[in-house]
Amino acid sequence: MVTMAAMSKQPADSTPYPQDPRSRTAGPWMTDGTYVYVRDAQGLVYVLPDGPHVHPRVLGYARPAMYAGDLTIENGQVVDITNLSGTFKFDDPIELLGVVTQLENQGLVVAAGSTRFFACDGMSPPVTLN
Amino acid sequence: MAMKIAILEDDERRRIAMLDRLQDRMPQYETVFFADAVEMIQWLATHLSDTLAISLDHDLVLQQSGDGKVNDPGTGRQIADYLSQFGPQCPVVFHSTNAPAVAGMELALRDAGWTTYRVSPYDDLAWIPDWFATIRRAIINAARPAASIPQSPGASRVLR
Repeated sequence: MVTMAAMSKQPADSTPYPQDPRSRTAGPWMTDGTYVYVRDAQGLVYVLPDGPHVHPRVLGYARPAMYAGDLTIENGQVVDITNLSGTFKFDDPIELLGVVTQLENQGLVVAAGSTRFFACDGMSPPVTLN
Repeated sequence: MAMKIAILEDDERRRIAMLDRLQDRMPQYETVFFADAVEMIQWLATHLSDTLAISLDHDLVLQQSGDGKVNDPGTGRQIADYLSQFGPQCPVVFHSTNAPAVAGMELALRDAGWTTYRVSPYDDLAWIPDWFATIRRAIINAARPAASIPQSPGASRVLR
C-alpha cells in the first residue's frame, strides 16, 4: 500500500498530450541512460527516455503528478536523481527521498549519494540529500 | 536573485536550442548568452560568484557594425584565461569543434583547479541533447551535501 501525504500538481503546460507509448513504470528493465520520471496519483513512478519537453507525456492527458524530475541509470543503478522539471516544479526534498524509496520498491538499486535537490527559486546550487 | 548559467555562443540557432532545453528542465536559473569575450569577462567580474555553470565556444564570428567596421569578438580562450586567475567557482563545459583550442582552455582551467567537461558539436544542432546532458551532469556533480533536510514541506530553504 502506498500512502501519499503530498499534494498533486497539474502540469504547467495543460495541453492534453497523449501518453507517450514508451512510458513505463520504472524498474530493473531500465537500460543505461537518462530518463524523466513522474510519480502518479497511485504512487507509481513512470519513466520516459530523456528528450525535449517530455514530462507532460509521461502520464499524458494533463494528468496531475505527485512528483517529477529526471534520473540517470549507469551499470544498472540509479546514479543521480533530481527534482528537475519545468513542467511540474516540485520543491519538497522529503518527497524526493520518497521517490527514491518508491524506486527501490519498484526493484531499482539507487546508489548512495545520488539524490540531488534543486530549490525551485534558483537562488542556490543543488544539494545532495543522501 | 537566481543563479546564472553563462554561455559564450554567437550562433542564434544554437542559442535558441540551448535555451529551449534549459528552460524546459531548469527554468529556475537565468541563462545569459554572450557573443563577445570581453563583454562576458566584464559580466563575470561582477557575477562569477552567482554563476552556476559556464559553457564556452572557442571560435566566434567577426561582427560587422552598422558603419561597416569589423569588430573582433575574441575567443573562448580569453574567458578561460580570465577564469584561471581565480579558484574554481563552478563547472565549465567546452562546446567547440576546435579540439586543439579546447585542449588549451582545458589545460588552463584544470591547472587552476577548475572542473571541466567537453562536448564536440556535430550534425548541425543534433549535438544539443548531448550538450544539455553534459551541463546537467556538470551541475549535478558540483552539488554539495545538504546541511540538513527539512522535516516539513515548504522548509526547503534551510538547505542553502
